[in-house]
Amino acid sequence: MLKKLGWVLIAVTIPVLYITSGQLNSSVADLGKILVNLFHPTFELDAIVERVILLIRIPRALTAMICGAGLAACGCALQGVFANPLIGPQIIGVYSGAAFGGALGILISENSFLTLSFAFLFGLVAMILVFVVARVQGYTSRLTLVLAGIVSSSFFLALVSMVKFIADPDDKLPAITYWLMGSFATASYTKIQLVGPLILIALFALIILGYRIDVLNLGDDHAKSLGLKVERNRWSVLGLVTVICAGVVSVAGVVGWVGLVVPHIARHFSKPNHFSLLITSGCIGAYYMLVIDYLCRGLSSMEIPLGVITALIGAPFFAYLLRRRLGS
Amino acid sequence: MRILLITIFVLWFSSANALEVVDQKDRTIQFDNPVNRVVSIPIPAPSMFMSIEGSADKLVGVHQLTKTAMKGRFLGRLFPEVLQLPSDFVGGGFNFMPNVERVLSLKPDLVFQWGNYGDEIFDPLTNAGLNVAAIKIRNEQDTREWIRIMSTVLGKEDKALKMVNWREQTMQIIKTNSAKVQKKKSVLYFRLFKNNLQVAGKGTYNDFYINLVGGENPAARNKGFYNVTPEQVVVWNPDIVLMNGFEPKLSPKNYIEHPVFSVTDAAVNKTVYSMPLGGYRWDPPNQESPLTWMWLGMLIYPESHKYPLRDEIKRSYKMLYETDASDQDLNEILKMKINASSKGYAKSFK
Repeated sequence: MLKKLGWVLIAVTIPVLYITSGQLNSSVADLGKILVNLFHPTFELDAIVERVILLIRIPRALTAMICGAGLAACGCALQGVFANPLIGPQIIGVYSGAAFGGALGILISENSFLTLSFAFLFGLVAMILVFVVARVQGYTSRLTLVLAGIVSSSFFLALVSMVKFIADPDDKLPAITYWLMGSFATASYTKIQLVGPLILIALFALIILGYRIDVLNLGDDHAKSLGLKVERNRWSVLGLVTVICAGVVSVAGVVGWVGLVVPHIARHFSKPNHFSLLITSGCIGAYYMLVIDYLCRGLSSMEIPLGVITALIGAPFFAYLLRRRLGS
Repeated sequence: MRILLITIFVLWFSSANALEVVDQKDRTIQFDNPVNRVVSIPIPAPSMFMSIEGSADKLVGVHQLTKTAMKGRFLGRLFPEVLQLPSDFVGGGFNFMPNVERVLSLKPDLVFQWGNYGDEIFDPLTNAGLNVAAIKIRNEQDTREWIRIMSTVLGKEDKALKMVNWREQTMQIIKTNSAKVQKKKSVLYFRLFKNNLQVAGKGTYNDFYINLVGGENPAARNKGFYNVTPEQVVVWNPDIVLMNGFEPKLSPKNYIEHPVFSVTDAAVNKTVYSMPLGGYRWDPPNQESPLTWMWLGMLIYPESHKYPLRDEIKRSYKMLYETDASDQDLNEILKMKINASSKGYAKSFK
């Protein structure tokens, strides 16, 4: 009971700390007053503090948590489907497709919703490409799936390079380069409304498929012998992962490492089935991303790209896990 | 013996008359013949080159984005022939890697190339036997180096002297007037605003002229251009905000009507201004920089910096481009329409 209470306390404290601290001084009391004012205007508040908390920090925190949960669950599901702990969302090529879409959106327009739509759309296109390449005579092996992911990824990365090649160095190129490194700086309620429900629905669907991922994890032959329709279920999981990844890239740019690292942390706290593992990964991913984003915006007056911090923390941590695994 | 003496004399005479220039990589370039055909790969170089030469006759190739920056603008109307020059020797964007064979086909006597973006974009040109002058542009000193290099190859040292004297004299006047400033105001320059917020920190040219006119740059705690959070901008709460001249359709409204920034001092007081665009954008160092310094001084401390800016633009354009700028040109250069609702703008620059 006490342990559960401790977890609840941590779960509440981290977002509250995130929302009430930063470059601008604000207190928990300010947050309380703002929340009260939302329902019943009672308190006089500093307009700047109110706007920073309401329009910057809260949408940013929500976006970070939704994206973190989504990416971690994607990594967990993919590691289960491929029965390989070294797999992350990048491997299926969706990231590169969405990255190209976003870069193209910035290049041809100044409308951030076009960037978001293009990123999402091309994420799906990348997955369709993988499907077309990998599926031979109605069957897809794990190996061809990974290889098709590499093909799709390389193809769209080349297109990203082409977009950077033709982008104006005075305005478009810095914007594209920064976007590709990932950031929640442009988070807003509108973006959450557009992408949040999609990510969350796909996330819940993925959790529901958890027990089927357990069966897929045993290998195709075993899964078939247990009566599971391997092709249909594998592509269902991949489809949901695509929706989540494309959604995340469209609002935050390319965020690496979270999907690879968090499931490994989750395995220490969860039961060994994918239903529990996906829930635990999602929860840890949400808070992990919140802490990472706090470092991005709070370490200095500079806005540090998300991809830099996730890699700086994720890479050594993953190396440690790998060493420990090899040692055991 | 006589033939030998004549040969030595001819060799001595020709070498004594050979044109020589040291570029910004400290390389010495020698020209046996006058420089009549020039290819420019750095985007802002042609505007400086044309201001020194007073024409575009010697340019035979420019970067595509040089033409984009000139099209429909003052310099594009003054030298429309530049818009027809070939640009297909480099890509359209952040691409300064030349197609050497295409550059060779333009038969240039000299190629200007960036000296601070690595040897990969430089060596292919020198390997092909071309005369290449390396140029860099980061600060006032670099700008004067451009003037020296370009005026030397064009044999326009008198013009260079005028340009450098103008810069030096204006700087001294500005410094004298800045010393009168009592209370420093904070001035924040946005290098990028639309997709992400990028400000100019310590060591940038924008930081240099903010300090020159007596202002204070809140972003100077870090070096160079860097990205910041909206929250950081709110914490700085600058007195004056300068919007860059690079991003299309960016105006003071973008800041004033921003959901978060709209409550900051600069938005409330409407002290947000868009940087002018003359022969080149006034944000980075260029041939018109003294006008930028005067413009900014008048904006921030009108009581200390009092200059007849419109007359000064007309006088300097006559000196730089040998042309008369009309009042309509001046309105366009100073962005009178875009800045119309900004505090004191119409009054200061009408």
